Amino acid sequence: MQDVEAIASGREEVEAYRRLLARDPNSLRFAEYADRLRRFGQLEEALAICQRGLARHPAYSTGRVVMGEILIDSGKAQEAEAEWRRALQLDPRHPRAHFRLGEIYLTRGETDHAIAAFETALLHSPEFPEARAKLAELKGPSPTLRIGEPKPLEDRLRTPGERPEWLTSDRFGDLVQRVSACPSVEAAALVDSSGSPVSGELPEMAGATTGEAPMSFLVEARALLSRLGAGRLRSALICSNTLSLRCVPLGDLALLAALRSRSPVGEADEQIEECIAGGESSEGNEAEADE
Amino acid sequence: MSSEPTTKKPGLGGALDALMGIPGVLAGMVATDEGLPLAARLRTELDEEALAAAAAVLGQLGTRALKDTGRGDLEAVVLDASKFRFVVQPVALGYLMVVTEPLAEADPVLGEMTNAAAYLDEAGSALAEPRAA
Repeated sequence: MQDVEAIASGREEVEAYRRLLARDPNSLRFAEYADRLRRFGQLEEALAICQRGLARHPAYSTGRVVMGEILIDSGKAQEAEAEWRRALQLDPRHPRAHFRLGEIYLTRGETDHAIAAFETALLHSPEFPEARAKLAELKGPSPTLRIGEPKPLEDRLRTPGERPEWLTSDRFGDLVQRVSACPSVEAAALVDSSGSPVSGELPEMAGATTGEAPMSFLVEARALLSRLGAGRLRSALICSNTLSLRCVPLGDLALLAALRSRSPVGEADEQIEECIAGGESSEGNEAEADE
Repeated sequence: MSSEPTTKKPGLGGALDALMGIPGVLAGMVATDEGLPLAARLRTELDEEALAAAAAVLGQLGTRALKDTGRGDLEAVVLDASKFRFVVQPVALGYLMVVTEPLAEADPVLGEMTNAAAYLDEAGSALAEPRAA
């Protein structure tokens, strides 16, 4: 692997990949190798490498995307499209697969579908210059709720924002206790950015009691809202047939509340909001008492 | 949640029309898993393609979060933002999404969406209205 990265570009790079694959035929880097060959116009060899790699790793979505690119360069648009669709079945978020499908739609004159595909690619990969360029070509400026220009790093919503001033560590337990006592709430916890509870307990999820998956959801949802220009994320609710989980971001922390089965969403929201507002106002009361 | 579906008109558009009748609803959308719009009703200057992409992404994020927690199949995702509320439900064709004003009541929307989703699932491929204006 090191020898591949050490070589800047060109045919030496292709040769480095060849050696790498010879040493480790199971390597997933067959896709990069095939892609380099494709770019050099060695389509037959690229096809053979990609076919061999996919025979070993049929569920490798990037391999499917590269295979589609080799096929489209070989004039096999239908087969290429099938590979990209298969890549999306394996990984619905694969930006390059969305982008390539967008190009297919364009060749068919299906501009609306192409725009949707490019936008989806951008939602999953905000730094995707080709997708952004295609969109700029296809769409004029639209006033609201559209994919925006990349924002400076500090504005990205992957940065969680400030924790409320009143939410000091000595108040964690109090907040969780109040939320847990709400009639609509079964259990509540305050979790940190890694999803580990800093107070309270969550219902068992996949054998663990961490909030990693909900926290990951919040991070992605924040990024999505940022791209849409839809404002700040206030809270999220994820419902399944066995769980309704209210997630409220509080700076670098998040309050997670498992709602009781069939609790009206509006009522639960009001109860949780009152608890959070109670924390804010108790800070105000204490400040007044200090005065 | 209302027990009587109010979705009466045939087609994807008919299902969306019923949703648009709820106070505070700004947009209704059916999108494929890939984020392609199948039908849309937009009350404001919301961008159809961006909404369809968002519907698919939100549905996928919710599905993944539940898969990671091992707590059942996705029924709905509600995202409350300062400017809008997004509600997404999976349907056979992909995802049904409604965008509301931020303070619109969630329960009537969820109830009607459940009705619309059931209608869409039932109608399935018989719904021959690939795109709405």
